[in-house]
Amino acid sequence: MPDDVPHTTNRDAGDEDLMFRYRDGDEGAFVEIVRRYKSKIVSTAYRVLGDLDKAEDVAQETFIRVHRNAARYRSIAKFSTWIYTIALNVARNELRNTKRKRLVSLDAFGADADAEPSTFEIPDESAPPDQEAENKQLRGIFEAAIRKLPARYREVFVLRDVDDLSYEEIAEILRVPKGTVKSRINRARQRFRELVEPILGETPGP
Amino acid sequence: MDTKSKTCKKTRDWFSSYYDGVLSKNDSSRFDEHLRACPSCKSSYDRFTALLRGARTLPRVRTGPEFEARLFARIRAERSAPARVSWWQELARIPLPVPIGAAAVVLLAVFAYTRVGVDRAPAPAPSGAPAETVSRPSGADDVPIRTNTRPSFLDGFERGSDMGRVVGIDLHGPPYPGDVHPRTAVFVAPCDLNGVPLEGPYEPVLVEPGTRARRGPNADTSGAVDTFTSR
Repeated sequence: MPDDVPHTTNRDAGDEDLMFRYRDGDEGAFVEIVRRYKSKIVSTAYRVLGDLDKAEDVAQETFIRVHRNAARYRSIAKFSTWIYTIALNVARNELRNTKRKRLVSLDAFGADADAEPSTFEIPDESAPPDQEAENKQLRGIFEAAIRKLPARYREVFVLRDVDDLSYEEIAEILRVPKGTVKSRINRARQRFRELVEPILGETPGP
Repeated sequence: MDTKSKTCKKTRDWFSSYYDGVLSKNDSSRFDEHLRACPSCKSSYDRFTALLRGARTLPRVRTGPEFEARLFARIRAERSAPARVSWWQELARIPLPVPIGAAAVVLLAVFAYTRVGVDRAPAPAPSGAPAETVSRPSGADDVPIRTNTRPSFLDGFERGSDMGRVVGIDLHGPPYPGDVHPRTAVFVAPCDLNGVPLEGPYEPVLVEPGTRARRGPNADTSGAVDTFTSR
């Protein structure tokens, strides 16, 4: 590389560039990829599976697959889309293997927010204690409602409304047409609302 | 269903698309117009958006440095493991009677011939070789945590070897999320694929109540420590 071409550090490099660097032997590039995506992947897997330990296992397996396929990586897809696709596939396999579809009682969560795993609780230092308790309870209700959604709605809801991915990205990850994504998101949100509003004491309109 | 109810229903079917900005211009105009005229639908839409905004604020799951430690230990183990033998290599080791062996060779030759020209994809490049150097974080010249000297509160880092090095301790810092012993946390740097501590910032690892830490001879601005004692 000529001296006058600036070489970006791994911290500044794009995801795709990091994959090429790792493919070419830069171990630090993989470390950076893990740093960027571990929390995103564990969070998405957790909300799809409803089990923190399994979510971490899914994320581990996802990064192992990224590592194993680094040599074959081509920038045919955005890296973020590619890694989410892997993670969703691993999570679906996990669901199939365990054959466990845990149904969580919304009532139980509404009454006892402490039942939530504390690992993802981030105290809001600026909120007074009462407000923080209320926020915590609200988050518990939301998390429980997401877990109650049917799997095909839960996936799109998490990707769109929690992870903030675009319709195009979701269509690519789930390998379904954009129109299907749109209709699933619509139904998922309706179901989510039906689950949450009765607990919050809001009455739906006419 | 009267006309107003029909319009209300149609409008509510559009909530999701309108919220995402994927409704057509004409439909968006009709949507806006109806919401201005219908307080009930307006209120319903406001609650809808409030719920979705709430979902978007759900916090990310935080993972500790043991996540990387476990992952990199697994990759190191995978690299050092002997190469897996494929099923056809196993099959090739089984001694066969000459006629069957000859038939198998012929079949394989035919199969290989038919595949020529079909599968010309280049072989994948070998997995990345270890980097020669990885920069060490400042203050990382401390004593590695040895399994037999690790205190119990670092049990979470016991899943493999070279799991990490203590690079700092904060006895007077702010409370940390889920802090069981306010104002006390140690920082453990997970090691990379070569066993070298990663660059920070590091997640705090909270110590149990009653645990005390003593600064070691390598203490510097990062507060590196080499000894922990429990009461």
